[in-house]
Amino acid sequence: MDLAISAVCFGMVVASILALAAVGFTLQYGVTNIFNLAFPETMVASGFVAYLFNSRGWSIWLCLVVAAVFGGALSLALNVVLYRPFIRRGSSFLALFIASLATGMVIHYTIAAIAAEGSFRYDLAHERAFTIASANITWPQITIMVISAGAMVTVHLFLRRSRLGKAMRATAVDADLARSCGVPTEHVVNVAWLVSGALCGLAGVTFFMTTRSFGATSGRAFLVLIIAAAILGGIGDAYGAMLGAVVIGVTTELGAVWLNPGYKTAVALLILLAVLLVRPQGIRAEFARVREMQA
Amino acid sequence: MSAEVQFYLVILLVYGCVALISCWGLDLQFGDTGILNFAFIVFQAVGAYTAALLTLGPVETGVFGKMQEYFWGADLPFPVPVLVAAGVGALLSVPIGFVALRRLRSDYQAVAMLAVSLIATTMMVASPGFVGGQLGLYAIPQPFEDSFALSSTEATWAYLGFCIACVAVVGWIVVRISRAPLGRTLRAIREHPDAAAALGINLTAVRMGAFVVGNALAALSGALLIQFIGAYSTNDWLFPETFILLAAVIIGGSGNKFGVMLGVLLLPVGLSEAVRYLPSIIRPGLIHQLQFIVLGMMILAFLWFRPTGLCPERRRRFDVDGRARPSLAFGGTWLGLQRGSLKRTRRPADASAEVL
Amino acid sequence: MIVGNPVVTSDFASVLELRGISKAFGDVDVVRDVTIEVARGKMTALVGPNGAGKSTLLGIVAGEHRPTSGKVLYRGQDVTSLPAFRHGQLGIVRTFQLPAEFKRLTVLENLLVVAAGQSGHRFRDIFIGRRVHWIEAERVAVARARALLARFGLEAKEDQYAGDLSGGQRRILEVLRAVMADPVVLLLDEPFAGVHPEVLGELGGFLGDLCAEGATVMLIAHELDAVERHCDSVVVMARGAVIFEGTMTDARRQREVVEAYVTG
Repeated sequence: MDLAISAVCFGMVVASILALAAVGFTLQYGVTNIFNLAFPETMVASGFVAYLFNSRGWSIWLCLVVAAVFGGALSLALNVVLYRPFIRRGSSFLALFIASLATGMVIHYTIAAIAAEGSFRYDLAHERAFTIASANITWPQITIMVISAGAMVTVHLFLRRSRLGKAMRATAVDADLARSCGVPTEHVVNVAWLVSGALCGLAGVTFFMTTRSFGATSGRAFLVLIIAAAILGGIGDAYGAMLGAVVIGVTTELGAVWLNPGYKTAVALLILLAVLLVRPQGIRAEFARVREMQA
Repeated sequence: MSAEVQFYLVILLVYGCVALISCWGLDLQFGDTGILNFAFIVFQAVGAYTAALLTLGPVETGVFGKMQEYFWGADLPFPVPVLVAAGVGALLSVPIGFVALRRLRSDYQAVAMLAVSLIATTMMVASPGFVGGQLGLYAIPQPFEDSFALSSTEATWAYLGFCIACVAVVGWIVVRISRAPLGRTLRAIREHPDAAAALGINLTAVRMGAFVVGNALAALSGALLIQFIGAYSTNDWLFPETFILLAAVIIGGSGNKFGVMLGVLLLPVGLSEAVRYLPSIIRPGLIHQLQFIVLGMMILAFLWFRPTGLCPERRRRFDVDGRARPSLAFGGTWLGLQRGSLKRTRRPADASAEVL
Repeated sequence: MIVGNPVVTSDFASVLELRGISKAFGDVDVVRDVTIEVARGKMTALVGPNGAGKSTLLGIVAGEHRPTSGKVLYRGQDVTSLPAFRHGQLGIVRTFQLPAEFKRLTVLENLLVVAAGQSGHRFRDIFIGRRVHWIEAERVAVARARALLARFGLEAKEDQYAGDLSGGQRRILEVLRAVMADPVVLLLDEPFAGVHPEVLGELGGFLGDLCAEGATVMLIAHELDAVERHCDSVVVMARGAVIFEGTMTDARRQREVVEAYVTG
């Protein structure tokens, strides 16, 4: 029981990080309809950029902002240099999928080439804030949850209240219709990538904050968790992604309590498979009708 | 030619044969039918492990305890393990096919297959008692040495001969599929599944067929590989491995059997081997990492400039009397010289230029 | 001939019968209680303003969608819940509203892709079958395909990739492809769209010839003049329901029909 409670607590921390990533991923997918498989690598890259400044003495929280900016910039660059030209050309989903995979590989191995086998740590004090059951909750973890919650609220306000946010929702539902109503879709797409990238950067740094040390290979497993959370909640839907993140985060941690910890990612993967088979439009299924999910 | 160079060439050729068989299988699924099977490498692993289990015999307990861990074990004569391995690969494709070949959009399908691939690796690493977990299996006996009491060199040559024979058989199968009406059906499914269904084609059944045959070939290649190298672990079938095979198919020319051969020569064989002889600059792992960077960039370059690959899928023509014109495997093109089928890439999707 | 075709009972006057077909997507009623009988050898047009549910109805007949309620009877057999490919095998062949040609197959090859059943179409044929059989069958099919292409002046383009044809040519190609499958019921979704007016007459005549040979055609069209010229009868749909069945001339006189087109 004790273990279960600590698992849930830690699960919420994981969920906070996952929420940042999943919302970023799903927002971009919602607007562009393509899986950006270079996403986890962008996370890792942002995490390393933060390290670069952190190791020079900058406060990690400042580096967080830097990482967010970097993530946004990198994602936007990917769109302008890579995805948009391919889409303009009429490439199929499969081609884009492979292209994003290849890009992810290039980024991943570039990081690996630079960082080599090294393992790194942020300069961050992990002070215990309080204890629930047998779990020690540290201040950084609390801060991460707060940041994540704050980001979620910001995203919510942005989507619901701002003009650009509404334009983004419109484009996500029906890009052609939005365009003919005067929505500057190309601009909206760029913003989506920027926002997605910024969230990605935040996710990367917060993720590395919670691990004891990190290296070039840390990002791979996260990809499936992100996709699982996004698809579970209903791909393209930010609120669904938040929900999915909580479910995946808590379930995998609980799973680790009872099963072999090595199976942690397997749990998320099985959830992903199950969703794809049974209900690919996810729990909230906001875009179910409009989005062509079936072949 | 000195003995060492000869030996090196033989090894290269065996690797080439193994890669060719598996790439032909992948091309059948991806190039012909449009199924992006990211779990492909899992089937190669299935074949390898099966062949190993059937040749290692029961777990040996040495002086220091168990030498390696796996379940069961038998000792069957060559070439039974290889054939059984292909069969197991085919059988396992059926349940996985039911899971993965649903009516999902092609990139969702790819995500599902990716998930399957990662699940398999994760579970394997976490279950050491099954087939050796992360450490894998080793000391798998080379068939010709054992059974026919040949010398080491002779055995290697004999094995190469066997591999080439396998390549010939597999080549015959895939070319036959490609030339038969079935080949056209596969390509129709690739182009527009709904239109194919409207004409009465049972998509699930035909896709399953391509899936099963392709994976059986993967398993066959795995069996051939493991019996040659003698050792195999989860590191040999991580996700990037599928990527190398996919790159060979795309760059060589998806849908063209000869193109795939070219791709295999360039990538799994060429790049890996060429790189082996570069001095380890700065540090050992760097070459490996640079290799993948180059690979990723090559794929992007080809996807942009030449999506059909070096040897594009050939155009099928018919004679005046209705017979299919015998095919030039080259497809009437060779690297830069085309016969008007490939238009400049600036314009939006020309039918012939767009392959994916 | 068409494969796997269990003839349920003897000749039916109405080869296609729709009984009480309704289809809702979520809250939206797209098709409302449609009942139609199509006689053998007739060419029927499905017309109506955009959003009337015509394509959905066609899709239901073709097995693409399952109706929320109602039945589709084909030659007396209930085919409502059969999968789409099964409809194709039984002789109900359709075309699509958006271009659906096999882009990277040649024009001729597009016509050679037909339902399985012939030698060389199954995986087991690869291992056991004799190549001689499928070469012969292919030769017959090629001759037939070439004749069809010649009728529309497309024979010179047989080796071109289908994706490189013009819009109207692709439309015709899709119709010809469907015809190669020996349909008993041919469902065409906007076959006249984008077709050159001169060729349109030829296409209409071609479809008329098919009907004379015993096939049944149901098509969706907006080109009302062509419909009047070639079709035997017209079904007018608006907002998911059938508002008129009869000849085109009568349709024009009906107030409801005129109103439907104006108000949409």
